[in-house]
Amino acid sequence: MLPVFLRHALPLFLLPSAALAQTSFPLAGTVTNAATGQPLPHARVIALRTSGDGETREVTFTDAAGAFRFPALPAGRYSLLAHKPRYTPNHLSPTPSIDLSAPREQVSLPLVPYSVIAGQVADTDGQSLRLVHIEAYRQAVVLGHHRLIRAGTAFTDDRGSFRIWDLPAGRYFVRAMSRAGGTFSLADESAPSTVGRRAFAPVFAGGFERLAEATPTDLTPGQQARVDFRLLHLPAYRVRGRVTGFQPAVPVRFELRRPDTEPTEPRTFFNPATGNFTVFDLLPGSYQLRIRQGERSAALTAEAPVNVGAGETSPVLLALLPPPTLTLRIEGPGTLPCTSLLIDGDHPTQPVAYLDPDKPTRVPAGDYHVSVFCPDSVPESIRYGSAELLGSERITIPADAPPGDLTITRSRRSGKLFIAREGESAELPVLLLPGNAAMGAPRLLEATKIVRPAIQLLPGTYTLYSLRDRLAPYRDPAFLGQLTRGISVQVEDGQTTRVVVEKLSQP
Amino acid sequence: MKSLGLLLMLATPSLFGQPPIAVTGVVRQALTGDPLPNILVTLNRTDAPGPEQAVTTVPNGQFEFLVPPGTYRLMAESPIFGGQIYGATSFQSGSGVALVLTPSTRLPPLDFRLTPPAAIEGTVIDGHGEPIQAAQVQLFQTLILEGRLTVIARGSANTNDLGNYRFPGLGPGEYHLVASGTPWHTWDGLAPGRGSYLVPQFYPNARSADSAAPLVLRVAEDARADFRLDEATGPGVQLSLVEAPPGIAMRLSINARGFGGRTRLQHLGTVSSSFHRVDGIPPGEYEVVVQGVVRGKPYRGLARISLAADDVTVRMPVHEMPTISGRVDCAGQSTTKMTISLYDRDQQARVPAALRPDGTFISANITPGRYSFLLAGAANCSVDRVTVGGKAVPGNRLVVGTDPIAEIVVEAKSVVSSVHGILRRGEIAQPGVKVYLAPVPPNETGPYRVYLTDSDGSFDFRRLPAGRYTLFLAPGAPELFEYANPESIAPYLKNAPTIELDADQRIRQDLAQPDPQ
Repeated sequence: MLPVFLRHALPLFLLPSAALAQTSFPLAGTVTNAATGQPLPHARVIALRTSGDGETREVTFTDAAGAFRFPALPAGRYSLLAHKPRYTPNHLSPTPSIDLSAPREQVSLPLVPYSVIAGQVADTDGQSLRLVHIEAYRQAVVLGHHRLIRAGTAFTDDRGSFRIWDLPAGRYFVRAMSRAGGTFSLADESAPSTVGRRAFAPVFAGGFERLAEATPTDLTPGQQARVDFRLLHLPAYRVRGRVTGFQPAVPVRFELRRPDTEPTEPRTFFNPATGNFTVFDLLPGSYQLRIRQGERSAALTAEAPVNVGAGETSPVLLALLPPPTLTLRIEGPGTLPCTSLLIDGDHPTQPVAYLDPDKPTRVPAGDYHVSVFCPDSVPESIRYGSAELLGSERITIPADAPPGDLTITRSRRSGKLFIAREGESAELPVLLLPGNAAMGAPRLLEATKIVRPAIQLLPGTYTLYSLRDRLAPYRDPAFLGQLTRGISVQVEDGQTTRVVVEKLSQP
Repeated sequence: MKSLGLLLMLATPSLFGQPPIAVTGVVRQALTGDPLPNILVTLNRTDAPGPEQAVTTVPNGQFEFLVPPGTYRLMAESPIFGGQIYGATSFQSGSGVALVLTPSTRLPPLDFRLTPPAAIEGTVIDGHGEPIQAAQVQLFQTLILEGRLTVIARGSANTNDLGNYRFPGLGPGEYHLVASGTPWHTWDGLAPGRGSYLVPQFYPNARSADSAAPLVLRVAEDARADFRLDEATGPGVQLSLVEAPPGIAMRLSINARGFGGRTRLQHLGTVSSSFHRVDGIPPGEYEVVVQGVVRGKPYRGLARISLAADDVTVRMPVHEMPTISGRVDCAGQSTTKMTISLYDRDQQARVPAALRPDGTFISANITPGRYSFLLAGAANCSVDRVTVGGKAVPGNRLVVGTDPIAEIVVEAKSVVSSVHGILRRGEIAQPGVKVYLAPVPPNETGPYRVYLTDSDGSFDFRRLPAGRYTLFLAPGAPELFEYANPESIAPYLKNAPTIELDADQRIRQDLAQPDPQ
């Protein structure tokens, strides 16, 4: 049955003035499960019409047989958005568009069901473990690098069970991280009584610590995959210390880093009155303990190395400081200034900092992708301290970094490359690979029939490859090593080189 | 027995020449009596600092320690049972029975019973019988807090994609549940038709807390509480924040009346501009709270509203949360090992304050309320008088509103009077029995205390102000016994001794437990 407000609302929406003058038609159909073909009851269907007068939307729900019906919609072009819990909304992919110029009765709207990863966590004695932090990572390519994107997270319940739902189909890696972590503010400094004294090292499904050896979980639409863990419990230790320079009202977050692994949030008790803290459940080893207070750009941070061995370690002192500043400096010829953008590799849609020339900007500690825009020149060097970033476009800023410069040196020499496409109208992804790292990082371009401005490059030899997939890991050396049949292009100082893309062969 | 011998060696501390005392026993499942292997058992000294002793029970559930004389707390931990203290009378809480070991103590083997945890779980479905994802289920419990029946919020859970929720690790007792949520088709904001909500349901099948009934949970029970939430439409709340800091991103909570004076959460959201609208709130009385940290400073706003059929516009001033500061004066004693916290009993909020070596303290981020001051860490300092700018605070409870309060002086004095003794039945000391202390005549303010007798039958009520007291036992008292309620203790006061306690006095008063009929 329709919710009360909708039953009343529908006729009202259909009556407005302009609609009466137009011809109206019924629009009806069925929402189905794309994996099984079964009809889906109680799904929401929105008919969205964009015209010169603006946008109108009508809402209805499918009945018990999965059928929906808009009795009379003004003629026009409609998008039909269908949604139901546990199914991917169809507007996340290109939405079917319908030209309503006659009655339409049998529109089919298939919805792809989400998938689920569920499982059980026990120790090697078979005793189920509660409050174990489980993470599912989806394999993806971000800015040309292979990345694991955190797709879901869960904690085991008292029976050791976990469940991560609403996952799109794809390849996943599941990892048991640690006991439920996070920083708790506690005034009481006596250790809580229920803290475990055993812990386990983070492991991927299959029992491996490294991603390269991990067993992937491939999910088809609507599938529920089972991933179980048997964890080896080892004696764990705690680290105590003191934070200085914190603001009393703002939560502090503790993070533990080890080389080549995702950071974890260990179970930590922090006393906001005294600054004393205890980090629990640490296995012997070397870690970098990083703390953060406040929001990203204004966050105070501190970090210190921690060596955990048997027994009590000496107290760790962490002095919170504002993030280091970075100043963009520009050298070499050119009239228009360059700017730079620092992008978090894990969240590429959210730039962390914009750098304008000669303006110190706070940049929280972290690993970033560096984008540089020079409107009328080509950088021949991008330096951070003594590190040259031109070939990698990657930068690591430590929490205790002194104020630093990002120096862009503009080259006196540059040539232009003009990529054109003839024949087909579709866009074609093209990879531009410089002859060596001193000429810059690999770039992904689009070749289209539409004339685009030439790109400015350092003179030298480049290789062009056409790619089948925009999501190729084009900054991964292993991927680049597999590329064949590229074409070589020479860019000369002061010259424009023209390439017609049809000459490229597909890899 | 070979493995037990090894454990014995590991658990033997350096004994400094004193004869060690054996603490032995068996850990068992409380209901079945089965011995429990592989349980971590720890022994911590409570009368003096000392290293923690830890052993793991062997397959027949046995454990054994050899320790120097002293007072100890015995605990067991496992992933299934959580942490439980030996002799504790309530699940995973309370102080338990302290082990008092003197050079002449012959402690019999201990029977350490672990109570299996109980759980409440269930499914939340909609009017079509389909599971509701991300419905909120809130759990409350009625228990005894400071001697009086009190309802506390025990937590909240969200349903998963199958509509299931679960509250594990519970002890037996009286619980209350309420489920609420917003319909899935309003989440993405794509559909017009504002104002639909899911009608909150109180366990079992009730529309209000008053018509609800408690769920009585037994030991180790897996109880079910299912909910079916119907959809309805209701008015909206238009918030207009006054004097809000720019660039805000604050948490909005709309709280309704829950159980026993506690609030329940009806709506949780984020406010990111001075004007904010929430649609689909069931008619009723609410407290609207906006709170957040903007550029390192905490802000808060509060309004009380009553919703009927129509939308309500709320003009809400947002204030920087006040800072409370002052100093502690405990008859010239050093404050270096002292901690101070503010305690609001009504909200059950305890806020720590940083106490500096010179006795000054500061606490930011204070929610409006009525706070008393608690001192801990220092041997005998007890709050005597609280003044602000030289003026006495009535009842020593400081009313905090939206303004900062400075120049608080917390005058404490050393309170060392105590009443102690031994509980015996005939000649035999009775450990693990609750002994109560009440003022004479019983009044509303107390102090009322309870002591679970130690392993040698002793009890010790410390830090008592001078006055007249009585000691009593409450055999056959109900599970939720209000020992700070003059009416409920009256039946147990016959033949109870009266004690006149002066300042700085330590009185011994032994008690005899009558034989059971």
